[in-house]
Amino acid sequence: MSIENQNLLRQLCVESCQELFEAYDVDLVIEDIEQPETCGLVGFIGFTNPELRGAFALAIERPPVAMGVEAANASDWVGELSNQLLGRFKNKLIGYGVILEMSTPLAMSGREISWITEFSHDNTIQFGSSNGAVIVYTDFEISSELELELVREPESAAMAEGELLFF
Amino acid sequence: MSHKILIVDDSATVRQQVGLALQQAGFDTVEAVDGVQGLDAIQADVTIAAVICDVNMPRMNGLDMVRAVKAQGRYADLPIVMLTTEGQPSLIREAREAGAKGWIIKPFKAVQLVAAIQKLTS
Repeated sequence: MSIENQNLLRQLCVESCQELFEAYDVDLVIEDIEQPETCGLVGFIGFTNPELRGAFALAIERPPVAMGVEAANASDWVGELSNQLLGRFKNKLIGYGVILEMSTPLAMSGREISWITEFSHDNTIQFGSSNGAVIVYTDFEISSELELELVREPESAAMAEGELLFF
Repeated sequence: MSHKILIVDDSATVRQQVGLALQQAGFDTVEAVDGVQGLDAIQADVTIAAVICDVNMPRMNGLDMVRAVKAQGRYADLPIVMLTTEGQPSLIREAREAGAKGWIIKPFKAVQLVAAIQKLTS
């Protein structure tokens, strides 16, 4: 994968994550936090396209309160958050002419879920917030033939989050 | 009499969020966890006045559920609104062609969702 593509995908993922949590009144700031030995709540979701496939793992310390509702089931909520994260990422990529197929999310909650890979700038985005640490682990497999170029502004390529359309 | 709204989503948290917003506005709600259960619920309860439905779900996705519902003529007037993370124009077009009445991208705004359902059930 070219450095340009890698940086662009990372930036779109950063923006998607910050915008998503902002919608739940949580501001995320990129921080070089120390890699925690374990985490307790992780949502996973995969995506595919002929030229780009991969997965996100979203690890959070505490789930944000969602529209005044304390999540009945924290692992369900982190799974849904990973779904909404990928949805935003997908909608941004539509502006680059890339349409992803999304899987349904999976989630894990536990006392000591361990990371077996070292964090690196290439595959991990670490945020600090008033709601605790948020970590996104990204796994991209991209065809060498894919060049990501903006063909349409994302705002005009896909409906925006929170928008309502009547038919 | 309050209208009964069916919420179809595989996330319990989303069903809880949507349910709370609608109940606070005076609606009754019932829930289903995927398209198969949603279709069953619609066929079993003639008092359902509108449906809010996710797109990406296991077993039967939301677009297939809309097609299955609308294939039965007696549900031609049942309003179905899609509530999803997807903003892809081709999927939105598919939903409109299948007979859905609206499309909302998550995270939703409670006021907007309630206004949409009030409009469709009035």
